[in-house]
Amino acid sequence: MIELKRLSFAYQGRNGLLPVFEDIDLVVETNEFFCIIGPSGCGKSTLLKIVAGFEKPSSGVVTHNGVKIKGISPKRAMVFQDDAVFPWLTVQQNVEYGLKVRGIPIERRRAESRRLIDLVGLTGFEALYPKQLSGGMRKRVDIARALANQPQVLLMDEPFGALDAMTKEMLQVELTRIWESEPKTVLFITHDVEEALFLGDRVAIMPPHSSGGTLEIVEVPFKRPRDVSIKEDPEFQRMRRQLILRFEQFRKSKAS
Amino acid sequence: MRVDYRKSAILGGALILIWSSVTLLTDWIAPIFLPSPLDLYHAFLSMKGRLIPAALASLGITLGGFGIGLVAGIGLGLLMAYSRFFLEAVGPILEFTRPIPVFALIPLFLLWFGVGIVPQILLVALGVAVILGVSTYEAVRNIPPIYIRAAANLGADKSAIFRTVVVPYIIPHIVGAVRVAAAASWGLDVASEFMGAQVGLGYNMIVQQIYLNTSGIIVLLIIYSLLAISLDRLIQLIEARLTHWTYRSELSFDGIGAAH
Repeated sequence: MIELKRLSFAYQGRNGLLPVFEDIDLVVETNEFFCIIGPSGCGKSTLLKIVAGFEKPSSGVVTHNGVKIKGISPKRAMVFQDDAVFPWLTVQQNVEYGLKVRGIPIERRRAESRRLIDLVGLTGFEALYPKQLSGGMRKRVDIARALANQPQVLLMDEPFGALDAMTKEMLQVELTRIWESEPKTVLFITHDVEEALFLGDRVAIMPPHSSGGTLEIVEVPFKRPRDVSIKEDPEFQRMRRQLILRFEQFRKSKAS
Repeated sequence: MRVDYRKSAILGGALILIWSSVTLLTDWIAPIFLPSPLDLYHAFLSMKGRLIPAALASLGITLGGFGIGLVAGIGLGLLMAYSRFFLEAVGPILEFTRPIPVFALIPLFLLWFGVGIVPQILLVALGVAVILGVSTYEAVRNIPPIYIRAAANLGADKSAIFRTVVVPYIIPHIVGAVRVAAAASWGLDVASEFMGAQVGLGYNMIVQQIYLNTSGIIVLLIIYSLLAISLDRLIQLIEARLTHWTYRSELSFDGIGAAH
């Protein structure tokens, strides 16, 4: 379980502090698929980086199972939007990286990487280098690599943002399948409302300059396992329109 | 990029033809300035016995210095990137002394070490280390932070990150400096041989110059060039093997730009 208590973050600007968000409260339940949607610049990436341990909050606390998060840990694995797969290693070497660096013996490494490569659907591509793969395939290597350390939490920062629409949808389905077979807590950031509704158990809305208390959260009612066809469901479309409208309202109220 | 060698082959052939005809068939140019192909051949025959030991001596100095300088320079660059303490202690001193032209140290080296192979190798090593040190340090500083973050997130500590991320990443980024350093090491070898040597191709060039034997000088130059080109090709081959994973652009600039 991840808990954010009165979390604030501000940039040290030249003329003083520039607040990004203030006093956010949030609880993500264990093994829940939790999505945060928001427009660019609302600070959702920064929030995720704080949970990962890459940034320190200006004030407030983040805890993981009750323990304050002080830094990075393989238990909270991060998947970035940009390409983070190591170009000088093969698919298999990339997936095994976390295991190798932590001293896991070769037999177990091989077995684990084979299992994960199969899980993300890349069997047969183990010996290829990232330069020989498509963007979608590299993203799958990234995910397999993050999963190799058996993290309790998966933090995903717009991981499919750089992909084309078809690959994106395919990976959404893949990710759901992987998560349903190996449940873990997922905190997923995106600006794509449809993506958040398809993937998440709950979706939080983060407007720009969020301040004070809990974010607005929507419960996603669709039963699992979920099929792509729910995107055509009238209820799905209604929720999607409602969320987009909500953002419009935030924008207008900011402008006024 | 596919290069059409025919054009330069034709140009080169034409130049050789002009040179041969002018020097062999006319007396427009004195042999002391431009010998004929025949003169070069005779010079080669008369020096034949001495060429191999001379080439080996120069090769030994150059490659020895290059190897030592490579290890020292890259090691220094990595150390400065890894340890802030080291960087702050040693960095400014290196910055201050770096602009000193290495060639200017030759008289000092001669006084310290006398005439011989040791000062020559040291000179080459120093020149190479200076080039590689800066290049390595800059390459490390320019690593995309995302790789460092990902490695750290996956459980790597600082020394593991250096071993498994920094070193593999910088190899293609220091290749340019390695080739420049290789070329520089030949130059340093020649300079050190001019100043105080008893063996080597450069030393022999001075001897030939004293005897006003232009053909001999040119033959030695050709051999020198062949050695330098071979080393450069070797570096390129090794580079290709070590960097096959990079996203190298196959772009050639032909045909790019607005059409009329």
